[in-house]
Order: sequence, then structure tokens, then C-alpha cells
Amino acid sequence: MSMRRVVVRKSLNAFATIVLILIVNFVLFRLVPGNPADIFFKGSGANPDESLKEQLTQLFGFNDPLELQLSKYLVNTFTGNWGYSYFKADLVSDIIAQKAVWTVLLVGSSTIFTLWIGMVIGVFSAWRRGKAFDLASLGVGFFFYAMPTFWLAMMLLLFFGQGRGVLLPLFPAAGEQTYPPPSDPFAASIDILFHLFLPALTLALVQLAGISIIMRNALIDVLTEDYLVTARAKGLSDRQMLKWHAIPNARLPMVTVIALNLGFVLGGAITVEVVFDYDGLGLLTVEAINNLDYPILQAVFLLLTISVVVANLISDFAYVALDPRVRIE
Amino acid sequence: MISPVPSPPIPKGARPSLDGTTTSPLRMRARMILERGGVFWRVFRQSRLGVIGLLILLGFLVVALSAPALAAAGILRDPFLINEDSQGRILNYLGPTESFPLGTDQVGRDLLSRMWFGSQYTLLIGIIASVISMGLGTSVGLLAGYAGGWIDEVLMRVTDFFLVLPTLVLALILAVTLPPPGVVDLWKLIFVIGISLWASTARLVRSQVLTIKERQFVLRAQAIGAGHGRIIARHIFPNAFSLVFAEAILTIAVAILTESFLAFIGLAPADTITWGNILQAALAHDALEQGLVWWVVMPGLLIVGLVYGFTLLGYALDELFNPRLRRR
Repeated sequence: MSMRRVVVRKSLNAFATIVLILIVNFVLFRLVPGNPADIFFKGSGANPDESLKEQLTQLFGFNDPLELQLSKYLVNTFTGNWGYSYFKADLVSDIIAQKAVWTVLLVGSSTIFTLWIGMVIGVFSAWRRGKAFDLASLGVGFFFYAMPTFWLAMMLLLFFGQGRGVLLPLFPAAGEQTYPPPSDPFAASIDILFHLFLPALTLALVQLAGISIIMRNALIDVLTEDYLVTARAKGLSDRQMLKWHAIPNARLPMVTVIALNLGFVLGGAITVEVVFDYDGLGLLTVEAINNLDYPILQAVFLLLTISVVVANLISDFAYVALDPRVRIE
Repeated sequence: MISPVPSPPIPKGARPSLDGTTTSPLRMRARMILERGGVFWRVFRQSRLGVIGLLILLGFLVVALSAPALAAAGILRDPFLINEDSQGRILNYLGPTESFPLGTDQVGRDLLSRMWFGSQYTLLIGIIASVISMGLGTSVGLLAGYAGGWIDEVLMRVTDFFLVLPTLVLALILAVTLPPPGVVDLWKLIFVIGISLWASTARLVRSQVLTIKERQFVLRAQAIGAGHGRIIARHIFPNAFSLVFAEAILTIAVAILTESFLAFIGLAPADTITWGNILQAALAHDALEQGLVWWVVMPGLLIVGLVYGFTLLGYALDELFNPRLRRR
């Protein structure tokens, strides 16, 4: 398969998925009960005036025929016009852009950290397959995998949270930075990192098992290949053999894993942000659920799902680009 | 490891056994099942992780089944009872005491008995959601794999759609938007979890079916005039079943985690006692800040234990059944 054909086919698939997501997103939120005008009034606490309510319903476009609503929705989504929050009296796109920064920071840093540690653990496990380290890392990995993410977050707070930590009360228990932030940019970034540490550690630990097990299995696969016998025959040390011949090939599946993992991490990030009062998309989502702020929910759902689809697409491309064997088939 | 063991022929009627006496078909069948179970157990026993998982699960099963009896015997309190002292003051936010070993919650209910009874709901939700998910996934996988063509194409597009969506985010959005409006009752919760988890099973089953349907016994069944339904039900499904079973066990673990996630967000019925619900109440009422550590630690440990048990068992079964994972 030529590279170009792969790219075209995968892109078309991803595009179809995104269109499907858009339609599902539209339909699901039409199922939602209640007139948005009612919810709007509930938020403001004012007494609903019937004519004003009618006006609002008109304004939100809920009197239009369904197909017009759908086409409007599609056009608006693609032009970045995501409507107003029912509660925050602000553009949904503005609110989301503000919050997304923190979530990207949280998810990004924890993913990079886990990848690094997970691959190291995976390599050691594969090298000592069936020995104590392998079994222990499998056992410990499953243990973290079995944890609800938010509970691990609460436990880390219990041990390391400022003010009540019973082990090392070092890290801030809530928030994403000190308010007001320090004026010195260096102190401010240290402050942000300090706040980031526990939430990111939580997400890193719950992902660790998945990454390290996949790295382990990939390396075990590679270790049975003939070219490693060759490498050994020409006198390479274990270390050289692993570093130059085995690990680079075993690392390939990681490209796919990062994308697959993203969906899992995003779900976990929602609860972690709630526990740590971390002002990202997750906290926004839960607030929106409690307030029935549907425009926000709709936009968050769209953003999270589409980012996973796009990440998968990119990882597919990366895989084809990195591994010539896929292209020859 | 299971399949190569020769199984006794399925009895078609009473027939003489070796010592000349006659055995009823029912007895024969029972003996066959027992023999197969014995073979399975001998192989399974060698997986240390699997046995540990099974023991953990048996422990939880004992806890769940013993709850009503313990409550009836007066050892456990009523999990819904709002406890008061002799002056009629509500005993809420208690730390561990002699009469409340794990303390009480925000309205004065005994946390130990809530957690004990919580095992029932948690297990129930996990198992039923997994069964729904397996039913859907297996049907889609069987149909897609067996029918092929455009049916396969359409079903797999839908499956891929569900597969690529982040499970927790999907479950969350479904719980928010699906009717009945505004409320998440027990069945809606179970349905939402089940519908979020079926896609990988459909893929797995489909790939199994694709290899099974090329095997000779399917051709033979066709030759003697078996219909599609019979071939699927009697020849293809039984061969894919062991894999589905391992997947079902693993899915229970994921379902329990999903339930705790939804409960934590506040999207679970308030009148059911699950460990996720208890944790949600703990966070909402600042249990950690008040030093009520066990309120937070125990439900989490219970979830970890139960999920760990299902994961270990499922992993061990998967290693046994999944030809892809067998040791080279």
C-alpha cells in the first residue's frame, strides 16, 4: 500500500467518524429535557416572564424545524461559533479555550512522564521475564489499574497534600496556581509545576500498567527475532543489543498506544480535576452537569471525542511513516 | 490447552456403558461436564494470578451474600437507618467508635454496613452491565463476521465509532442526555455502562468468527443442510464462547470502575448503595478535611480489591483461551 493511499483512506474514515460524532452530539442533546430558556432563567434566579421566555426560545433557535437546526449546528460548529453558556454568560468557545490550557498541561505532562517510566519498566520486565521484577511490576501495575482514578487522587492528597498530608505535606491540595500568581515568571512557573505535581502523578500512575505491559510484550516479541541472535553472534553486549537493535523496534507500538490511551486519560482527568479543584475542562464538565449547562457539555463532548479521533489518525500516519513493513503488505 | 482434550461423545440416548449397566443420558451429560471441569481446573490451577483472583472474588461473594443474614442477626446495622443517640441527636460525621467501626456518614448512617451492603449493588451493576455489553458485542460480532459483505462493513463502522470514543466520556454524556430526563436510575446506569463497553467485544468475536467459519466442521454442517441460525448457534458460537467468557470477566472490572466514575460525578441513583456513591458523599462533605479517613480509604480499597480480583481472573482466563496470547 502506498503511503498516499493509506493517508487518504484513513483520513476519509476519520472524517466519517467525526461527522457521525457531530450528528450523535446533535441528536443526544435534542433528547435533553426542558426548554433551554427555563434553564437559563433558573440560572439567573429571575422570575420567568412568558414573553421573554418566548423571545429566548426564538433566540436559541429552538422554534426552527429540526433539519434547519441541524444544518445551523453543523455550520456553527465548523465556524467555531459554539454558542453561549447558559450560566457563565460568556462564549462557550472562550470558556473552553481558557480551561483547555490546564487540561492539556495536565494530560500532556502525565502522559510524557508515564511513557518514559512505563517504557523503562517494560524493558526491565521483558528482559527478566518471569522473574521477580517482572511479576512484581505486573502485580503492582494491575493494582494501580484497578484503582478508580479519583480515589488514587484522594489518597495522594491524604499522604502529600498541604495542610493534612500524613506523610509529606508538601504539595498544594487544590487549584492550578496561586492567586494572584507571582509576578516573577520563574516563580510563577515553579508555582504551576508545584500545583501540577499531584494531579499529574495520579494520572501517570493509573496509566503506567497499560504502557509498561505493552512495552514488555512488544519487547518479548522482538527478543525472539533472528537478528538478535545475529547481534549477539557478532559480539554485542546485552546492553548494546537492547539499545540499538531490540528497543527501537519494540518502541513502535507505543505510537498507537499513546493515542488509544488518550481517551482513557481524558476520562480520568475529569475526576482528577474535581478532586484537586484543578480549573480545566473536567471541572468545567462537572459544573456544567450540575447546572444543566448543555452548550458547554455539548462542546466539551465534541472537543474530547474529536481530539481522540484526530490523535488516532496522527498515530496511524506516524506508524506507517516509522515502520516500512506496514507499507509493503 | 482446553480444546485438544478429547471429550466424550454427546449421548443421544440411553446406552450401555462398559460394565454393561445402562446410564441415563442426563447422568452421562453431567459426568461429561464434570470431566471437562476437572480438566479445566487442572490447567487453570497452574496460573497463580488466576487462583489469587478467584480467591479474592470468592471472598467478596461471601461478603455480598452474607449481608442480609448478618443484618437479620443484628450484627450489621440497617444501612439506611439514621442513627441517633439516646437524646435523639443525630450521630453524623462520627469517626470510628466501638459501635460504628468505620464511623457514620453525613446523615448518620453506619458506614460499615453501607459498605457491606454496597458489595451487593456494586457486584450486581458490574455483572449485569457486563452481560448486556457481552450480549450486544457478541451479537454484533457474530452477525458481522458470519454475514460479511455490506452488513459487516456497516456494523464494523458503528463498532469503530464506539471503539474510538473515550469510554468514560461516552458513559458520562449518555447518562446526562438519555431519557428519562434528569434522573439516573439503577437500570439506566447499568444500560449506559453496558452500551459504552461492547465495542471491543464485537471486534474480538468477529475476528474469531472469521477464522472459525472457514473450518471444515462448518462446511460439513452446511453440507448436511444446517441453516445459518443453527450453524451460528451450535457450531460457531460455542467455539468463540470461552474467549467471550474471559472478556466478560474483564469487562465486569471495567464496568465497576465506570460505575464508580459515574457515581463520583453524581450520575448514579442516590438510593442505591455503591462504593462509588459512598466516596462521592465523602468528597462532597469534605471527609478528608474532617479527618474521617476511613470513609475515604475503605470504599476505595474495596473497589480496588474487587476490580483486582476480576482483572486477575480475567487475565488468567484470557491467557488460557486466547490463542494469540499462548506462550510460544
